[in-house]
Amino acid sequence: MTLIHGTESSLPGLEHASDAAICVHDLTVAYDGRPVLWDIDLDFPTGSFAGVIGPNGAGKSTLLKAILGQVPTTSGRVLVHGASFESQRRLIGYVPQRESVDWDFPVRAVDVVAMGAYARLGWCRSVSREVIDEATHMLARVGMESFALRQIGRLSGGQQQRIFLARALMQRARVYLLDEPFASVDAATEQVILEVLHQLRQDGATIIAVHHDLATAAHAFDWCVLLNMRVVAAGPTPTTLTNANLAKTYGGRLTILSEAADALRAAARRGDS
Amino acid sequence: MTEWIDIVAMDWTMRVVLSTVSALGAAAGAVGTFVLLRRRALLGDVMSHAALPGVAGAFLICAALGEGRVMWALAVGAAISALSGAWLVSAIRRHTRLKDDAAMAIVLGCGYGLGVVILSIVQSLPTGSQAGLTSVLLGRVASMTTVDLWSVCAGAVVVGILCILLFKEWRLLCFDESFAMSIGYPVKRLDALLMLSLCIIIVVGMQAAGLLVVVAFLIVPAAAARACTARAGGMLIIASSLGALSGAVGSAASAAAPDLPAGALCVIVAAGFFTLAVMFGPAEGAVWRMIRRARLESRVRSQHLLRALFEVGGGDANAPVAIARLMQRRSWSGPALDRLIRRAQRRKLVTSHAGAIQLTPRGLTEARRVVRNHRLWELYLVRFADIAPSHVDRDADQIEHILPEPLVAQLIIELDGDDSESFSARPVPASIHPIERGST
Repeated sequence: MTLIHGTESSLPGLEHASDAAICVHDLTVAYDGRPVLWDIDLDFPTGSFAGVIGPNGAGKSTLLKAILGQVPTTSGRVLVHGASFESQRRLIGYVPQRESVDWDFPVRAVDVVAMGAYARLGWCRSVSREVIDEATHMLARVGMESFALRQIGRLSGGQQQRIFLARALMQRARVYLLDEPFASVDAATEQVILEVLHQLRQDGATIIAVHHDLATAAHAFDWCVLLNMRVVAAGPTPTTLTNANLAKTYGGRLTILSEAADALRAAARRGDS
Repeated sequence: MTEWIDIVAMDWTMRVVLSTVSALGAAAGAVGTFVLLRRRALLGDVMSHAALPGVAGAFLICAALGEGRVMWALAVGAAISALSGAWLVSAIRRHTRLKDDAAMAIVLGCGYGLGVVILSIVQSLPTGSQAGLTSVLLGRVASMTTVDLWSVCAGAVVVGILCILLFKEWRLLCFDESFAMSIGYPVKRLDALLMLSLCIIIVVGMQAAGLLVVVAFLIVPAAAARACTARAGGMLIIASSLGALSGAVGSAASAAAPDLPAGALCVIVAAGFFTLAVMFGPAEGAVWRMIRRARLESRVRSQHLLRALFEVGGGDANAPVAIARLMQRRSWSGPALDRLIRRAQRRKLVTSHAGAIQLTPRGLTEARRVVRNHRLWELYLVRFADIAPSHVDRDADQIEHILPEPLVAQLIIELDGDDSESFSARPVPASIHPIERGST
């Protein structure tokens, strides 16, 4: 992709790869010998609001976890703003799936939000008054200030999702990775989350969200990655979210890939025993 | 009684026992809080039982060398064995299709079995008479020494400091491991430190107070504390206090009943605290829940009566209604209706004259509110949820009693948007189904 010199084009997709906020190169991930992501090459342009879209079991969450270095990878590397993930960890804000934690856990909403500051707090240091104040401010940004002292289990699903977003805001990141932030939330929460994310992007951050709902994808994201075990298509939403690409992502053309993966797992199992 | 106080306060052994068991309870309560929050409640149990072969093996070696009970050797044996048990659980889970619970049950059962076998071998040796199974299970409270006291105190101090210093880190580890990893926390090392703390408590505790006490102190105070508070910090403090208190009360009680094992008494005291916490815990005590439910049910019954009087008595006309007609409205039994009426009379909601009941002005206001909620909800169900008018009465019957005011206001806004006429201007909307249809 060539960039014409002299033009001030800020269209996502025309940036050079070195401008990528996240650059994934030749990534393959396997669980239990069964590949779930094959040879992923991806650039997420800086300042984009990107959606990772695909059917259940397409490896969307795995892709996020691989970027975060939380799953063992068979091959590949990930660069964050041009350097290794490890050295750039502080630039990352992360919103895990809401179901990944036990909401009966005895903490208050404001304590959870304050966890976003732990990385810069240092070891064995207790959470200071300033951090709690900042957390309260972040709660206000997601419209949750009146729930600051409530135990998190006594919040609705949408409110819990907003708590997680507020915690990511505490991280003061430049790249935000969100795992299904819109899954089963109420309309008001969806609105708040979108507003906050758009605000972050205006401030220069990059947003990458795993998303399952095709109906809202078209207007929510300006960059799309269609994923089904491998990258089907990636690019600006209008040219990427086409019927042909969707059919390839959601259609039954991947049976061979998936059967090959099963065969690999079976081989790995035999090798084990 | 005074004699008993004398024993507890003055007797040297008694003081040693009481301090040792209390210190153990405090430390076990603290580390148990994190173990419980990490959902590894069973692991303390597994590691304690897995420590048995190590203790027994160390005895065997000491006996073979002609030594008696060598404290540090037993401690090393117990630690190695307990940690191997924890490792074995994760190894079984990794390499087989078995899940956590099965892996833990296997290690627990087999560790205990192996330990008992080795202990009986030791006891058959000339110098192995001290290696009784009872002393390992229930502790050697009668022969507890200052060495026991100091080893438990040292372990408790180390573990206590770790719990305070790493409170923030361990809490995050327990709550959201994936997020902890994402911000660069060394999750594996934090987890290992927690396991190590658990191991320290098991090793020092088992020698002094016995396996039974350790296992119970690791979980019961923490579980009781969870019922008392909705904050991890509060849980840590309460669990430590309950652990210490259980140890103190249990060993003091054993002074009154010297024939009973002190450790077992401590466990029973801890269980008592747990029961009290579950029943009366301020956060979600079962007793308070029962009282709240009973209150709600009584309010619901009373509101049913008011609504029946309002609807049968012609709304705001508020005509007296004969008890016989009320009986037809709902499936009330005679005595139950009598009780309801008497209670409503006491609360000055209704008056009764010659077998007919009438709402007082206060009762009328309350009845109007209930009927309004009921009918607003019916309207909402019919218009927005597409439920047939003949079906909505029973649904609304449940919800009218618990609709909070803000929700009612929202209902009115939604209904107003759907209607030319404003519902705020119409205090009680007309029913959308025939009222005298009979009981609901």
